[in-house]
Amino acid sequence: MNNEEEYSIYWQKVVGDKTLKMDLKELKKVAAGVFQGESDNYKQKLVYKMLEAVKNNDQNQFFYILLKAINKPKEDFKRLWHIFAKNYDVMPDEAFMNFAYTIIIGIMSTYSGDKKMNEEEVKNQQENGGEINE
Amino acid sequence: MTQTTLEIIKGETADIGIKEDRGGSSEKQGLSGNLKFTGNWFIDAGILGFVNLMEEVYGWDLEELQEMISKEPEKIYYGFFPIAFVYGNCKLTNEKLEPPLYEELNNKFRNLSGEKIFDKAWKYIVDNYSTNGRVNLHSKGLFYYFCNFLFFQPRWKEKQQKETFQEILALTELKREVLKHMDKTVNKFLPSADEFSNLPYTKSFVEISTLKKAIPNSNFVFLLTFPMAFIPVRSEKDNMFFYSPNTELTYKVNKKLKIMEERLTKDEKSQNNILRLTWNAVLDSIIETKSIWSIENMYLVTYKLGRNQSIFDVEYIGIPKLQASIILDDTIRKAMNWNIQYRSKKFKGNKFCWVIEEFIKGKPLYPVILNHVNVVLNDNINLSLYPSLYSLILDANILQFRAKKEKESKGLFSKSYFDNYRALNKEIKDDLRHTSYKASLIKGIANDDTKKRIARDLVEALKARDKNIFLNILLRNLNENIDLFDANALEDWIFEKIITNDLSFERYGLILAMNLLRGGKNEQ
Repeated sequence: MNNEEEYSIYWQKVVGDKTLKMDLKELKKVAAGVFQGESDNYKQKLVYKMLEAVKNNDQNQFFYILLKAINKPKEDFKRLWHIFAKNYDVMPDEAFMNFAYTIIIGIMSTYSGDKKMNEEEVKNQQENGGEINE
Repeated sequence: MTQTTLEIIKGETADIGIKEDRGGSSEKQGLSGNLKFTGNWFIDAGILGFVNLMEEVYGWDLEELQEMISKEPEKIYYGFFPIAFVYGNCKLTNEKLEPPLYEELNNKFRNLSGEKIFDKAWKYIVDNYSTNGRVNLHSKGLFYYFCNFLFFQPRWKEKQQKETFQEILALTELKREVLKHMDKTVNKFLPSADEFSNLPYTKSFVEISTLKKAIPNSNFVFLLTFPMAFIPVRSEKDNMFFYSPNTELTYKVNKKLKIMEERLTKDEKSQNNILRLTWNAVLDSIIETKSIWSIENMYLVTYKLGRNQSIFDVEYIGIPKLQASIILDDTIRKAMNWNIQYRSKKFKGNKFCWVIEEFIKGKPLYPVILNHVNVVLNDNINLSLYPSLYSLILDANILQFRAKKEKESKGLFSKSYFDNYRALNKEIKDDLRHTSYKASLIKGIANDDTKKRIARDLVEALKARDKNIFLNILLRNLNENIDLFDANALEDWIFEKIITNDLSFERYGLILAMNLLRGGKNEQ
């Protein structure tokens, strides 16, 4: 196992005959991918709210904000749903913080700042960043 | 001891297997092992002190001295040495004293042996260095240890002084328990079962009988010369000497240390630069002689003298192989070779920490750097950015390396041990390159005042070891300045080094805080 792999898999657990694992790197990629198209302003506010929830270690609030944000019939968000469905039930408490900050930094990585990305760039990034490796 | 017994002892040293590795003529005379270290640092310090003394008085270097001893040991030990020793002592009180001349003495000792050489030498001593029927030996300065020791006693007259000197040279049998007469500071290095009756479960290694076997030539001159191995670093009472079991290396390094130490001006000494330079001497010699192996067996022996003849602060600094292989790298060594202030102005005592020393001792550097950053925040001193950056990265990488090794748990000698930790070195360098650039991107987050406030908050969170609060403060502030995320470099770095890293996130977190404090005028 090289260093990179070691970093990316945060925890794993055997449930029944399946090994469940949370791959933070994958999670970050997906989070970045799905929020790519949103406006900076919107994401900035979302991040603030999320940070507040993590600070208080309030899992309910965090997931409430997150699910509300991705409760849209857009194709992209389904990727994130997929990951949550896989992980959420069995995620240990102590993994929550790393999980939450990964999502947040994923969203933050999509800020376009002053330079507005053109559509092609956005598309490119979505294709590369939103990939799920199963 | 007579000449015959001397021969027997010479035979003994050969028997216990100390072989002269240069080979050649010395072995024929049964004097193999002369001036080779024994492995006991105290005795070896005496051997080095002996070499230093002879070099100072007669100008012979180690090689010459070794050669002379192998040819004419008696002349050196019974003739040249006592004169040099008494001269070295008298020189302290009378600086104008002329050194004895080799040619002149050599003529005196011609065709003599054993006790007769000493008689001649003693006559020379009495003629030149005595007043009122007493040889002027003082227990001053370097000779502090010999306060009540035999011939140093102020009341002893020349005759008594001579007799005891003969005992020390093993020309006559020891009548007294010589070691008991030594200053108790030295006694501590020469424990004997009698002296420490409360420790009956162990027999001491260093007793007269064992010394006879261990010390080449089985006389006790090396007990007299051990203080001369030390170099006064900051003051006469604060001394150190470099020790490794390799005679040549030890000799070379200490010689270099002494030269460097003499070059320093008083000001430089008071600035604590001395340790930095001396350490450079150690490393220079090792790198010059390419003897990487020997770096594993090195010690810095330092002592400070206190009141009431007590000794304290004797330090043995072994240098672990892991640390040694890392500091062999020039860039890393230079960056670490700084004193950084880690205690506030109010602190009474040493406020500075010499980073490389901490590192060599195998101590974690993070607490020191955390304190340093804290002092930067509170006392407005300048930030030592590079030494701190290097320290934290080394610390983090070693931590990860150890954790990984523990997981593998393949025993003490892993592949990397024999590889001189090359892979780890490479990882450290890569990390340095990436981290110094990526973490520096945070500089653009706000103006100076706000940055300082953020840095303070971050450091507080680190002190509380609260990763959650740390990340919260960091991301909250970054979220205000979304331009910083343009290149994705910073955010990737934060993800990799802090969010997904529970083991050493504090080190990287502190690097971020340091970058927020950058910009002092005298930043190192």
